[in-house]
Amino acid sequence: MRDTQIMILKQIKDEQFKLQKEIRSWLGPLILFSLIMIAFPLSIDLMNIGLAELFLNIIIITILVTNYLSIDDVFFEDFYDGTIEQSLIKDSNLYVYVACKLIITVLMKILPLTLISIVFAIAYKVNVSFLPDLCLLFINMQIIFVNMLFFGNAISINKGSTLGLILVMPIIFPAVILFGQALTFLRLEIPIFSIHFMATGISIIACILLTFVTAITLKLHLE
Amino acid sequence: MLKNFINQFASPKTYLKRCDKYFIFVFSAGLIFLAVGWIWGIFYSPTDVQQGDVYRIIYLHVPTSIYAQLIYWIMAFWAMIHLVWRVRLAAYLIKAAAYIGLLSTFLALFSGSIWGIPTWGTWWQWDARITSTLILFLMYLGLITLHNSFNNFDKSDRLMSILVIVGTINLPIIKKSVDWWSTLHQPASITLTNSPSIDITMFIPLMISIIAFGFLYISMGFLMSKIIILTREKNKTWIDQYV
Repeated sequence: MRDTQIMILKQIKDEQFKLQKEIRSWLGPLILFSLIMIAFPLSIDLMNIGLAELFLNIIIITILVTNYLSIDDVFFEDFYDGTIEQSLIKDSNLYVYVACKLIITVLMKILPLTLISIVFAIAYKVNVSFLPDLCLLFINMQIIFVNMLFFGNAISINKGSTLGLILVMPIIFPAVILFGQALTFLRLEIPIFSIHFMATGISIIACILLTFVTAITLKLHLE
Repeated sequence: MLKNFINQFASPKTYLKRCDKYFIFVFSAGLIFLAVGWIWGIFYSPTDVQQGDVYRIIYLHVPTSIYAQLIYWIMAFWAMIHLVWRVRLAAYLIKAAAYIGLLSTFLALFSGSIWGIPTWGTWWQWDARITSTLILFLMYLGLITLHNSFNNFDKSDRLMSILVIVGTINLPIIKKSVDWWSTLHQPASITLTNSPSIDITMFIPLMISIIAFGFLYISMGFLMSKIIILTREKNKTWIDQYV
């Protein structure tokens, strides 16, 4: 048990080290997200349209695009430099490897992106009472997106991440619809507790099952 | 007994022989049922009070919509067989079914669009059922793209099976979209649990059309899978004897 914990911590440390070395891979998407958020009011007539409403409309797709860019080719380098193969030999399965990648992605990409989204929400004068709901929604939404995109990346590991995106995008759409509905309810000031429970449930299931499926898919590429 | 059945099922050679044997019967049955269902539905069923004659497109739209989803469930079943027992034939059948599912979903969307013009006043609406069916269409397209993008067929077969199983999470959403969201699309008129909400004189030809499409899709499946087997197993010795 203790060995497993040490192994997981070491794996997380390695992943963190790799991300720290490749600053552009996590900072780039954050900057892109900020740029889109800064640029989009410039493309509309500010006199007629409430920015708070538009912010809620545009945020889901911007987060989806940023997530896609931030984990573009997430397994590519590890696949070609033999890291994945090493992990497979060492642990006999890739579940821990994928789970560690997910944890680091949540810590270093999802949480900063959520914080920036909240800052922009305040800047666009979104009702402050919505912020806790928005925060929880953004985190759940990104966990689901990232899990699906991990799976997409794994399935098309040596064919480019665009193929992976094409494959998993149809499966992501229902989540987009769900979060769109949640934001509409929020705008109409309808409580969204049930959606929070559902989204949290889906993201937990996604973390467990899709990590497993992604690990199997990566293993399949190595056979 | 199960093992024997799977072993028999798993042999592409036996399967091809059965395809050749049953194809003509299944295809003929499909054509006969389709002729009966469509002639009955188009010429002898009463006109709908609200929609007039335009409702008769249900004899194309409903069967294609039902099979668009059903084919995906069947693919998921084969994907399980392929991943658990490594049955190669199951992978061939998944690929054959993906093409038929794509066609069926396209026909469902196309006939729905034609039906939408006189009844809704628009050929397309970003409605839950229509959008989720479009998602299903994209899923079929994605599966075919995935399979065609790898040169290693064994690997692409297994990746496709995994993607099919992951994709099944969308099917309940597509099925229940008309109940969960307030949509322009009407709820299902035929369900397994309740009696049909359409008149019996329209319902019987509709059921015949559904059976007809079932037979036609099975016969198309025979043809598609035959092409796939002949292409994939072309280096095997038994193929020379078969051809």
